[in-house]
Amino acid sequence: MSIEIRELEHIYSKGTPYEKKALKGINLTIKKGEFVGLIGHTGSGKSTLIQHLNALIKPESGSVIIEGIDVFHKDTNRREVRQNIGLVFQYPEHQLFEMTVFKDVAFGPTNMGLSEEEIHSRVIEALDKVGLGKEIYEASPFELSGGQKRRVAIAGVLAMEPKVLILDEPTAGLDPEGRDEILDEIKKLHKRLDITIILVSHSMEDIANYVNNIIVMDDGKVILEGDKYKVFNEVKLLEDIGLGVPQVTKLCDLLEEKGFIFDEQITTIEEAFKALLPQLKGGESHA
Amino acid sequence: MFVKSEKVVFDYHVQNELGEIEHTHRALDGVELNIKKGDFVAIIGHNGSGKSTFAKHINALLLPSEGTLYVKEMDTKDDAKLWDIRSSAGMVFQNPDNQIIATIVEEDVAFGPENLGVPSEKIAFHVEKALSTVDMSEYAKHSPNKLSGGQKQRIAIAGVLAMHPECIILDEPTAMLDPSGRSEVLDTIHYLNKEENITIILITHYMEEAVDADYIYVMKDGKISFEGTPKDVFVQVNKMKNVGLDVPQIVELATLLRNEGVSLSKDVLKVNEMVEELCQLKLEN
Repeated sequence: MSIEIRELEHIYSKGTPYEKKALKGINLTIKKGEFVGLIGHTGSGKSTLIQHLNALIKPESGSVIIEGIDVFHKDTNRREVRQNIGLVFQYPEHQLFEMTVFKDVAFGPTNMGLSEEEIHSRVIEALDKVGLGKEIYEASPFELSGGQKRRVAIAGVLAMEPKVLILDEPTAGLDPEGRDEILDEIKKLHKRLDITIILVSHSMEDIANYVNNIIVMDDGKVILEGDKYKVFNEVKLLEDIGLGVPQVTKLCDLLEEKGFIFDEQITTIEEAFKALLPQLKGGESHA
Repeated sequence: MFVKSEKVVFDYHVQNELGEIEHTHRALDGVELNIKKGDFVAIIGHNGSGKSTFAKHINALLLPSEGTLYVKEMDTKDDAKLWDIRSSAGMVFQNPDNQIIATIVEEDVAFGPENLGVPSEKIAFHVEKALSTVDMSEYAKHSPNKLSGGQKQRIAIAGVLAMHPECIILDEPTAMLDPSGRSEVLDTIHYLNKEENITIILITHYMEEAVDADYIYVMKDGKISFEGTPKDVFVQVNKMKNVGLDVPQIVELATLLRNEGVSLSKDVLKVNEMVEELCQLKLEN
């Protein structure tokens, strides 16, 4: 599903002394099947933006058009929009509530009014997509590990078979192994299901390792967008708005000043390794 | 020794609806460690390795099932010493919103000293000093709910500081913060360690944060799996990955290059150290 955002504005607490313009004229196009990273410091407007995408909040002005349908038009069936746009909130495991993993994942599809068999197959499929097998179907979601709980919560959204999946900091509070597990599963989902994925993260390393395109927000505006090489080329700008770049990007940026040569922007360890090795082994032959 | 842990074991009892013990989970399984006054120590480990359970032992929120934990030579099981222990070691938790209770910043910071029975004329002084130490004085009269995550965590740290602890334990204080909020909090705790000689025990999942500690304890399955200075710990890339952890990007890159015969020293942990070493190597080339 493609997403078109035109001149989107949002104001919190309008007409009160706390009035705050959270989105200021956002224009964005996210193509079908893209894997996009959304970055920006706390309060830059990321969460406000994604809540518009599945019509949880209404804009002051402007529009969101998903696959040709104007989300905020009065005749639009917003229930349908929400089923297509799956939103996984921060700490989604706090939203688990059922007695068993199976029932928890079935909650969404049940509300969609699907048949018993359809619900059953969707739950099994969704849990399989996040790498959870039948040995935990009957377990209480509360006795699982942090990473497992979070995968159950993501499965609950996947079971509604959304066309767009938005994840708000899916790895916050997880250890490195749990973080890699979740991000690897998300990457696989992107490949297998060909859905559009929007990943909100505070970790520039995770963004560099997983996404193709990046949207950078600051003070309610989109200040930079493009492929990750273009975006991470703006080291100074990203540091100025309190975000920074991956450690290896910073390293290569500093090395460039010292006479090292990089043909392309470095965003991952692998890229840095490949670019640096020949420059360090210089004259030696690679036997 | 400020903290001395002797074979500390802790069992969580999982109860059913009737309050009967269904099963027992051993969260700490013989933790041995010593933390000197004035040290900056990082404790790292996977989710469920026992880090937070151990942290809660240091200010006697939890008591060992077996073994003994001493804070400044006081046994945490000694009821009579409870308040001395709690006023020596303060805690800061992950979620700033769960630990801020007042509607005005300075009132929130005053909560601790008020409870300790500090005379009210002195409280104002302590609060002012604590807020200025974390560089939040200008927000004294503000409402905490309009602050950023990093600012809220600094208020939480000020709240602990106002009680004049000798040690602050921070349990993943930056997990919910953006990069600038993270560096605000880290700068603050490094300042407290260096300038105020406060012992810092930092529990974290961010390996980049552990790099600047004096000493690192790596926990796995309720035990100290291995320990050492950041240089000793991070050089063991495989061992770190085996316990479900990671190493900073720079360390991983240095390892890859070293494996290809690039003679990088083992001391490279940070970006600037790597820049220096690589420039040196390039000159020699």
